[in-house]
Amino acid sequence: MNAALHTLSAIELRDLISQGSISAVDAIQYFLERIDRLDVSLGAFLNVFHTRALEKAELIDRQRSQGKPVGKLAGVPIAIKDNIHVLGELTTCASKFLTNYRAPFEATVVELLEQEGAIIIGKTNLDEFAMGSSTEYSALKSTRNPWNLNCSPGGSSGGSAAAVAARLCLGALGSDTGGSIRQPAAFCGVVGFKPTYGRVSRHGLVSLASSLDHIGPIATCSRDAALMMEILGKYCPRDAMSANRPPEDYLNEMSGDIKGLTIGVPWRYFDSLSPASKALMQEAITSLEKLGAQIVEIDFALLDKAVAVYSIIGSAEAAFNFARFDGIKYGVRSAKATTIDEIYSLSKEDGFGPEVKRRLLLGTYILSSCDQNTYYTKAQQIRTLIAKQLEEAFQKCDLIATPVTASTAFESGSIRDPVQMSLEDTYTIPMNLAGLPAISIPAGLINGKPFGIQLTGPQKSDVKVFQAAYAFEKRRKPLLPPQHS
Amino acid sequence: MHEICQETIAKLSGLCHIECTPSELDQFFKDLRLLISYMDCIQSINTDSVPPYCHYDQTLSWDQAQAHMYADIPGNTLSRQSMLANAPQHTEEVVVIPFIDTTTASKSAL
Repeated sequence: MNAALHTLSAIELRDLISQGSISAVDAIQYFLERIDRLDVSLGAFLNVFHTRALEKAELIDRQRSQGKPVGKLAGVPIAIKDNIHVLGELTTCASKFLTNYRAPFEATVVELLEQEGAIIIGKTNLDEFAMGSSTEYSALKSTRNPWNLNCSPGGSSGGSAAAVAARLCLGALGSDTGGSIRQPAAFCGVVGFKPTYGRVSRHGLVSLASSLDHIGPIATCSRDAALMMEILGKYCPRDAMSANRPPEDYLNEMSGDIKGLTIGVPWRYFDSLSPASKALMQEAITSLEKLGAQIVEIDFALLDKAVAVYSIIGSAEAAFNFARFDGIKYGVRSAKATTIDEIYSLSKEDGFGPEVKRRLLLGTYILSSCDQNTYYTKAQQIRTLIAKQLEEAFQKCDLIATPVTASTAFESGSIRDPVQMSLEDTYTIPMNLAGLPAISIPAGLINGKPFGIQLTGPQKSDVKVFQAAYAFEKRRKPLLPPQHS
Repeated sequence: MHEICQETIAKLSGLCHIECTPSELDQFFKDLRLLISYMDCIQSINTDSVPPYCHYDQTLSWDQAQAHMYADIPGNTLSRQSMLANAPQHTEEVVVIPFIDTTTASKSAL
């Protein structure tokens, strides 16, 4: 039985542990051993919690033996992106600046997962401060794609996606500011979900761009991601943007039936897709049609402006948020600094990598340019137009289907141009700008690498997005990288 | 729309308190010129009378939206000890920073 634990879904493992067919300690030991053996070549984890995870697993076993409820994720190993706080553990954000920073409080999402018996098994790698789309900008280590070790796992939640894809854990949390959950999920052949803005609390997430930041699950299948959302989707007074709405019942609504659902496809904006990507996209749409969905064509003329709008708003908000990293209250203070000004400037010089510096310079330029209206206000106005255009599209359809990315995972180090790197997120960024729920699900393989489709709904239609994702996924086998099967 | 030069980058680096080496300044100049020229594509969109985006829930009335907003509520906060634990330099009571010579500071500001 233990030999195949990694091929189970989180729900299946939870059931085995809840029924007593396997102990939580055995399950966690199995996954810890798997991490120790396989993560050497992957580099998905920055920190693995051997002792903490086993102690928590013992607690689950004790509760079960005493007949107490053990929770919806009892004994399931979950990884956390290293920009989310786990009390008392390091939160490095994959930056040299925070190598010594220990979380002084628990993130709401971690608290909620642990209340339901999830075992936090470790912290995963990311682009420094979540700035990037490849996890290559991590200042601490490089992460490889389990499907092809020469390729990027995507980013910025590349460590979380790679860990789940290689089945080093059965679920993970990522953060998504412009596609950072969905793009790595697509590159690694797993499911990644970005909820409606405000649905999941960001209390305990190190902010990048507050009006765009989201936390969401990465899992091996849509039902596991939905279960995580049932746990995470709760009002939190510690996040000022948290939606005060009752939690939703995801799993019971996922029947696999999408008859009568209308799906909009902006076909004319798929020009940048390779023939193979286009063919898979077409196949995915046909498959949704066969399941009973009605397919309509929709317009999205502002799609090509979304990346520029995002770059302006994202870097401006980052420049504002990052003023707090000054080497005074936390972070690594430069040993060369002797004055207060030097503490600020030399600590950042030593602590921040080139991508972070570039974005902060850009954000400072945008906020300080002689006419702020030229960029920042204009971008916020176009953001309104993008949200309106999507709203109009939803007058014609229930969900929108697009690819997650134009192609599959690129070779590590192959994209050097910062504009080209940003364009990787063309299809995911609009959903952050408008705060819409969107899921990335595997649609197949191209030359041995996964390709994902994205289903997006109007705000607050998170459950509907999962319904369609489950119907799509139901007749497909989960993708498992051959060398990790 | 706006031309940037290497002096602009040096000024920005001062504004956001990031010390940069000459080679970094050179690279950032090239990158930012590229990025800003790309971002200028938004200038072609007519945004007359379009309000800037906000996350205000359009389905709520103004009164409902106001009710959703609230003033900061003082509550349990981190202890002094846990705050100081992450400070690069501190005593048992406070964070330690170098002595600030206001004379020098005002001179450099001039």
